[in-house]
Amino acid sequence: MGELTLKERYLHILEGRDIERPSCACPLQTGTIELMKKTDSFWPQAHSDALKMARLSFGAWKYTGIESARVPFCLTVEAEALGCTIKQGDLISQPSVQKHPVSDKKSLENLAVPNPEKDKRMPVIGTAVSMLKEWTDDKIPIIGGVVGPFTLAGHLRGIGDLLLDFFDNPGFVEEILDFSKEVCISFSNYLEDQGADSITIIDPSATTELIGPEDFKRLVAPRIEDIIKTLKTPAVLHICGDTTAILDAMEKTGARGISIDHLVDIETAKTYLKNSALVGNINPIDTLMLGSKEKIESETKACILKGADIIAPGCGISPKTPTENIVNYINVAKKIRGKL
Amino acid sequence: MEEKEKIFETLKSAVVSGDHELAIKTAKRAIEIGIDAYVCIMEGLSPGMQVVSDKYEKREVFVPQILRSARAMNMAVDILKPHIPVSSVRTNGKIVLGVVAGDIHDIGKNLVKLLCEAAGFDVIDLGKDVPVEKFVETAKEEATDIVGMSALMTTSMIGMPDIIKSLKEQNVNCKVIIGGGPVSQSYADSIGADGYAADAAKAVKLVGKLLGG
Ligand code: B12
Ligand SMILES: [Zn+2]
Repeated sequence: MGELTLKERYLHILEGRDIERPSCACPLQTGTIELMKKTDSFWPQAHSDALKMARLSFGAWKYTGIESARVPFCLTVEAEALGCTIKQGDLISQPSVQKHPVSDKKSLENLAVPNPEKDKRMPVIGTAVSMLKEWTDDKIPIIGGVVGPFTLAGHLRGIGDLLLDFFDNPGFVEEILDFSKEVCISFSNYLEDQGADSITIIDPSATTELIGPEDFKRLVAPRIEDIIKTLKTPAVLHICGDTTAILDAMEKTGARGISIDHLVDIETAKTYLKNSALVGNINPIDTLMLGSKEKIESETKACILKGADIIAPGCGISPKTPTENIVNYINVAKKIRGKL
Repeated sequence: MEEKEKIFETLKSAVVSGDHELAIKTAKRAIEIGIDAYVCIMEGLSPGMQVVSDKYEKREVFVPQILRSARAMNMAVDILKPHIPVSSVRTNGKIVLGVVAGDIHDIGKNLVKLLCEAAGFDVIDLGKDVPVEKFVETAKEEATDIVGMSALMTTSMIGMPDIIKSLKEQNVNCKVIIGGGPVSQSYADSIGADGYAADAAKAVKLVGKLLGG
């Protein structure tokens, strides 16, 4: 049997078929200022120009050795297509949601699931995915990122109001979540059709630090499960913060990869995860952006030795992260992997 | 129990359970029977919010419950505030509060605002994603006693020193306090801030201390 391509390795790990050697794919955001310069593709333009988006994403593989290409670089694509006002951000800050269109039942009813081939930046992400697919000759995993139902619901309603609705109007929460779920299904299926090899669902607002395990299990997990059921490719689920208390529920959604924050201990996490791949969890700030060479090396080693299956940062890479630091962790990971 | 004590207890439990209707009703009753509105906030509402903060620390409740309690408190405060004698408000001082540029996490800042207001401080809320100039301009115009900056991300907290520098350059005479997940007392010291607090209740104490109260 010949060497696996990077894409095959990633997919085999997620399918639970080859779990011997970790992959160095990054299912989370990879845009950095240095890579923007190298690829001449800068934020905020690279959020809305397919060619720039694809170039910046490809640059992560080309210049750092990250074993994947991932788009987009923000969490606002779906929200914008649904009428949220977006602040474009700049070189170091991602676009963010300014105004939330859902104030009551009526305004929710007025929203329709966007057409990913047409609406706002959705087709830009799709086009970037197809470009990457072509450039990489189907050898590198192309990862499409979509925002999870709870975070999207927070974008639509405003997270503060959404959390108060838990008590004031629980039925409305379910309605917004159901609608958000439909948007996730439509957009992730579209990205698959455009050639994405795997979907990362990222739902930062669903963190235990915000809503707690009970509400996650009741409101969010079943909907993520419904989304994953519709996917043809293996999904990775990322939730920020200390998710130890919901890891079992995250796995039950059917996600094949569970991406953990640096706050979660890998060995503890492994005791909760029965058959999914563990993705993580280098500290993106203190280690990857600000840490010394030694710190990056020792943390990367620890990730592998504790049993992470996909060696990646615990959250999106921060734009100020030096390329050298990324190259560093990738090289350490590859070296150790070679000896396994 | 004296009726006064009972009112404080009810206000406290209304905040703890997040029952804003009970909080409003009780605040109205307090005014009716002539209990000092300021003491109602300090002896009833604030301790209630402290209970909720402590429970959050222990992961017994989560942010939805915090927000519900904060709302109950806020609504009671709205009723009590007009009855607080002006002098006791004025001595408490003025705070300009905001989340620094590039950062939209405002739940924590809003809690700090609520508790500071409940404690009788005058808070000017600049909102989230606030540019350096906005902090400095407002501090100047309002002749504020304190500028409070919040940052929840390591990428945004690096904007804090710029604000302190600019306040100094423009000779704005006020104290600066900071807070939010990634910042710490040592970070506060390193950038020349006058104080740091780990949570909203401590923030109120800090403000009180800095203003010599
Ligand atoms: C809720 C949340 C969100 C919500 C925010 C909703 C809102 N309106 O605020 C949403 C989903 C929108 C969000 C978005 C993002 N988030 Co977020 N988010 C969080 C989360 C889970 C909770 C924050 C919170 O509200 N805590 C509860 C409140 C009560 O606590 P607090 O804020 O600490 O405030 C208390 C004290 O700090 C203090 N305090 C606060 N301010 C001040 C000010 C003064 C003067 C004083 C004295 C005291 C004080 O008192 C407060 C009350 O007791 C944190 C995780 C965490 N551990 O904090 C991540 C977190 C902050 N987010 C993070 C990230 C990365 C993001 C995104 C970039 C995600 C992405 N990859 O795109 C975007 C950012 C967009 C932007 N440009 O800002 C990271 C930041 C990492 C880092 N080190 O930089 C965190 C730490 C998650 C993680 N572990 O990775 N997020
Ligand atoms: Zn994260």
